[in-house]
Amino acid sequence: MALDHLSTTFAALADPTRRAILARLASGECSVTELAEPFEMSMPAVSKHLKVLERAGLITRGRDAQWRPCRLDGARLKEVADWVDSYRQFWEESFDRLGDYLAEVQGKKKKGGKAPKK
Amino acid sequence: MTVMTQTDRELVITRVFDAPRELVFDAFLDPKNIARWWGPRGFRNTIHEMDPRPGGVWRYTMHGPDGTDYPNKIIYDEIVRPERISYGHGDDKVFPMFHATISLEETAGGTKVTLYILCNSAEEREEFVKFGAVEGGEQNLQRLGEHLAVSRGAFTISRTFDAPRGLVFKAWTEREHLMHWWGPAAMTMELLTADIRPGGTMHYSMRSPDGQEMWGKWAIRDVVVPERLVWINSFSDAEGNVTRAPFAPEFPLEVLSVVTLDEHDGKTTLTMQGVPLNPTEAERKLFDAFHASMQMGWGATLDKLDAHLSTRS
Repeated sequence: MALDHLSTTFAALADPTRRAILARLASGECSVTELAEPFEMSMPAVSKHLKVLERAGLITRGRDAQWRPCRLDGARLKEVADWVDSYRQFWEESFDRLGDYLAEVQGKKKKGGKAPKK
Repeated sequence: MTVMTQTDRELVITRVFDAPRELVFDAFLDPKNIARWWGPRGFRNTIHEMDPRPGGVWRYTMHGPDGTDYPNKIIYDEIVRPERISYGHGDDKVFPMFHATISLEETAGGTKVTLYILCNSAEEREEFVKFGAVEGGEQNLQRLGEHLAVSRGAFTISRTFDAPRGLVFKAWTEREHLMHWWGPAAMTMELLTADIRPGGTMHYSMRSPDGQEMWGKWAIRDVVVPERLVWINSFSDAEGNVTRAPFAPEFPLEVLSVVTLDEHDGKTTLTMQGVPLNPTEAERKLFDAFHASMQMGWGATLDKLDAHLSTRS
């Protein structure tokens, strides 16, 4: 696992506007102008966010000097999603097992409670 | 006759909380809120009535870790939102044992809380100190800090189990139970130390199917049978020394973790919360992103991207 860039990716994702930009880019590439609109931000402000996202490898930008469309690059985001999932899974799976275990322990108890009556 | 100076009758305990003053103030006067943290470590509360206004009464029973019940009665003298609460404190037999004033000041670091206790006499103050009042008061404010920390944007996972609270609590805090469920089935968990009591440690190793081994550690802060467990979670080495996360160096070194159990109709809802403890700026950012990512679930975004790309190919 490449460790350093996971921190860079997370740092880029720490900002809610940048997360919203990524969510927007999931439905297709956009120009800076198109991205600036829904966020009611100035173009330089959006450009700044895009630079951070690009440096983190979360987006790529077209070469055309005039029209530099932004595209979401899913690979880095997938690493984050997988990592966060593994953390969630650790607990979700533990809780599944805890539920089964509690049922088992209580089942045993009930059986044990009935036995002495006979 | 001796002239009693105020000083030999008083006790003062202060602490600064990284939280807005209104929020700290509410933690003292909202019954659901205060029941979670009021009292020394290991104690829980049953609140019988709480009428937070001048002349109003707050009656509650504190349940000690050894099973002893302590009935308490408070009568509020003054409530000035959000800066001051003063009251007389005692029980139904003796009232007041002392007077207390809680003052809240805004500071650069958040909110400074001063707990000021005025005993009836110097002798009573001495008794009170011998009884553990200073330590108890400090623990009380530490618990408030933990409560406030997780009340604000903690990452949270919860689950309801068809089992009584006492059993769920045991399953979480006793080695022989923990071994049966902790960790995903694919992981090999080993409890190297499982000393779950205030000040105790749990140290474990975790081996993934591909043979990677990691260690982790819980430094236990509070054990409130059967409703709450507070600990500091960190990664560690094989010897139990706290280390950075093996996968992301800026993951918070220590995460304050709280498990709360609520029982209703024989079922128990478990809520686990986590927040970074005294994080650096980088740690806080990483944790916020982690937390937001957990809530958003990037999976849906990636699916959308896949769908979009496949329509173009």
